[in-house]
Amino acid sequence: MTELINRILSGMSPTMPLTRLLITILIMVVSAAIVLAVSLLYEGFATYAERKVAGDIQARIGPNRVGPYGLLQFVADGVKLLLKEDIIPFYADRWLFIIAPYIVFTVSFAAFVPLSYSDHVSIANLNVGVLYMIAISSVVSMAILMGAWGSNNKWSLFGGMRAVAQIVSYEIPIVLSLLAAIIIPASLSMRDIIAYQSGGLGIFRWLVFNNPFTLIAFFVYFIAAIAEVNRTPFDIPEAESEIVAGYHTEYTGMRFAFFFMAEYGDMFVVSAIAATLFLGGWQIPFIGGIPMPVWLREVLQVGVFFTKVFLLIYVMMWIRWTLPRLRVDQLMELCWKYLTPIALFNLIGASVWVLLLHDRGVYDIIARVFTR
Amino acid sequence: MAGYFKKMYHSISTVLTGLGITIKYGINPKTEVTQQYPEVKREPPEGFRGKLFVDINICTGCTACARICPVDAITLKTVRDENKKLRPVLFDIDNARCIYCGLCVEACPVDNCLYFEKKYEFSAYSKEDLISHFGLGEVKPAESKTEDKKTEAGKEGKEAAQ
Repeated sequence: MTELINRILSGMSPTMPLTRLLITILIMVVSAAIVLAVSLLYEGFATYAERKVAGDIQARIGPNRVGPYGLLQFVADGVKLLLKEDIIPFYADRWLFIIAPYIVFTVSFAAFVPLSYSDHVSIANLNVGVLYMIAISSVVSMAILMGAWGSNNKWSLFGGMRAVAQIVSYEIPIVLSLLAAIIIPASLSMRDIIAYQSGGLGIFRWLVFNNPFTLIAFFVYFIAAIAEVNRTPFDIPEAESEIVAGYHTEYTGMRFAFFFMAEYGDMFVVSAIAATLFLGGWQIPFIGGIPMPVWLREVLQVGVFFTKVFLLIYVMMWIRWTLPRLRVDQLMELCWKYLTPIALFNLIGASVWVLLLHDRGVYDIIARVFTR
Repeated sequence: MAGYFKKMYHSISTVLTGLGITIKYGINPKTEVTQQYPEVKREPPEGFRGKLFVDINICTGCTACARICPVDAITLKTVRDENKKLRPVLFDIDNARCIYCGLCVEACPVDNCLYFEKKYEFSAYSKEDLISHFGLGEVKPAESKTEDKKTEAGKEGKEAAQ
């Protein structure tokens, strides 16, 4: 993104600072609009996919009435939500109640920014990309508590407190397991991490196969990530059989839709982090070494990246429609007694591996034995 | 400590078993059991109580059905025709009132005269449209006046009973 701006600005005369500023802002707005459009479209199709996957698993068909194969179901749902009455409870804290869904949605949307979709396609190649992602996804817990408190409803408040307890707890195994992967490429930039994973047929240099500790870290991260985005079996913040709908009990219409879309946006974000850090991001498997035109390579890379992310999202949906909800104490037990110690010992193991073998993974060692 | 790992193994293995079962359904589209109702209609089972139907030509006009109906869904009016046979000129069944108890079908003395069809889609926009008319309409009445008196007397008796 910054490269693009610099390239456009370098062709202009440097004597017009105002025009340069305007063009920079214009490019920013356009790219933000593109990301917003793509993410909204993805969220629409994700709700459709969720219902279809649920139908498949429960031996049903799922939505198939609106449009071909029911593909336009999300449009119908969106129109329905737009036309619903916007209710704000009389005793609600209006300011907090109104602002909470926007913060939740903005935060999940902002997390799309540092992702590297292909070698050259990314909104911003931050040198602290992973840190930014972890930091920005933690803000969700604050916004959820704002909405929960602002609703002035006991179920909302319980849901919000549960959500905060859960998200704050599961941040720890997430960060510890991500660290086990980050210490190998020794960079926080999404693009650098993916670029590190090139070679090995585009598969065997993935960080998940780098050493046994990153393999464990991947599974710890994935379990904790499902809990981080409040999905079944860790959906106690919105457990409908216990607390109606949790923190969004009092929300209707588009305000509810913002919470709903943020959930699917968060799913994409955690899956994208998993794909970037562990599964080689946009590295094209098998045919990556063949020379091909730049545009084809970029398209293939974007396709590969989205395929990996969508496969992980499918696994999340698969898990959702398989497992029942955990109790609150079971949830905390899983986090503090199992995932956190495992991630901690795993991080020590990964650090020792890096200390002894530097960044050589299992594949590098085997390849070295054979080439000698 | 052994219990710790045992518990971990147990939870992972049970989760994987469950995931294995659901993915069998998830990737195999042939497991769908849903019938697409308006397009595919299931054949109603034996003894299905759908819409009531009267074969008016073999109806003897005995009014047994109208008398046994617990919700007065059947309105019946009979007239003696020229062969001195009782004929139902008016035979209305109010489907909005009918509770599908089947008492009228049991009471009917003629085989295959009053029975339930396997038809179950007959919603209408107004209550009046739900009344099905089976009556013969006008029948040439009998020449004998005594028969007329009898029916009138029967009618009066019925009205008095009500």
